[in-house]
Amino acid sequence: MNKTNKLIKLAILLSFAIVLSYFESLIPLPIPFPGIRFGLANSIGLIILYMGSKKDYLLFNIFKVFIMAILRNGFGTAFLIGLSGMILSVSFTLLIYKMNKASIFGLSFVGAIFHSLGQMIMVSIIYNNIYLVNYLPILITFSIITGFLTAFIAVLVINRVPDRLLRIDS
Amino acid sequence: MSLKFNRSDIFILIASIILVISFVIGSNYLTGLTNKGDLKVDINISGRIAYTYSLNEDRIITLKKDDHPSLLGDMEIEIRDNKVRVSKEQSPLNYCSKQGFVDKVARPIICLPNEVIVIIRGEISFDWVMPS
Repeated sequence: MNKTNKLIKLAILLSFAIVLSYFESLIPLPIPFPGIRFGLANSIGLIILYMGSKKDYLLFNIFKVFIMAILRNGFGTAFLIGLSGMILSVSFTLLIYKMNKASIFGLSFVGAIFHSLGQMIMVSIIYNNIYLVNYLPILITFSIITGFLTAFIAVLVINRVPDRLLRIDS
Repeated sequence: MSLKFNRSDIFILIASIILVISFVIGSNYLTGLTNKGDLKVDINISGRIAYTYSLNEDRIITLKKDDHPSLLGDMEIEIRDNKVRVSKEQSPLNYCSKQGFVDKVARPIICLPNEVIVIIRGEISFDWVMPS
């Protein structure tokens, strides 16, 4: 019973995340820099990390990258960029999580900043030019803002939604 | 993990910014190391290296529209005093001719409407990653 409960909750949260990242791709941001998104799906990831375990967070991110690739552009450039961003972001977030010092805001900052770093590393590999990493200072400036916003949204959701609806027991 | 912003968040934020910035500076430094010796100029047209010239010899290269269908008009690339620039081109905004001379490795001159990329390459190239 418990296992089914957990499976269903994780599946619902995963579908929320996929719909959110699809919707935010439809909203144009009034910023003259390409490649900047809110990353609202990471709010869901942070909720899972808070309510569930590290393993849930890791599986959530892996499934999200693969399902987004199947639903949208296929396993091309966008998938590779998302994958490398995910790997770096998840590994650093879990590293900081293990230290047990940072709050949800710190984890969100780390996730957003290292997601940008992983993406730019893959971009410079694909386009074969290390010069492209000079775009990172602009990206991480926005990563700090969006990292704060996604953590803020996650805190709002955790505070307002009843605990028994979100709690992921293992 | 708490839900309240605390002091260690600021430490972690600053530490990760320092890490990323040092990565940027380090990769620029590594690129700068290749900025000596026998430098080459690669002219990419439609994603393939069409011509390669030495940066040490002054010359003017004219790309004809008839030979390269992606060009919007005839294009002139000038190599002078170990620097390279796009001196004449046809495009809506003329970004690549406005950029002027480039003398450093891996700083590309990109003319997107013409699908032309001019880039200086050192002895160690970054081609090992994914040959184009």
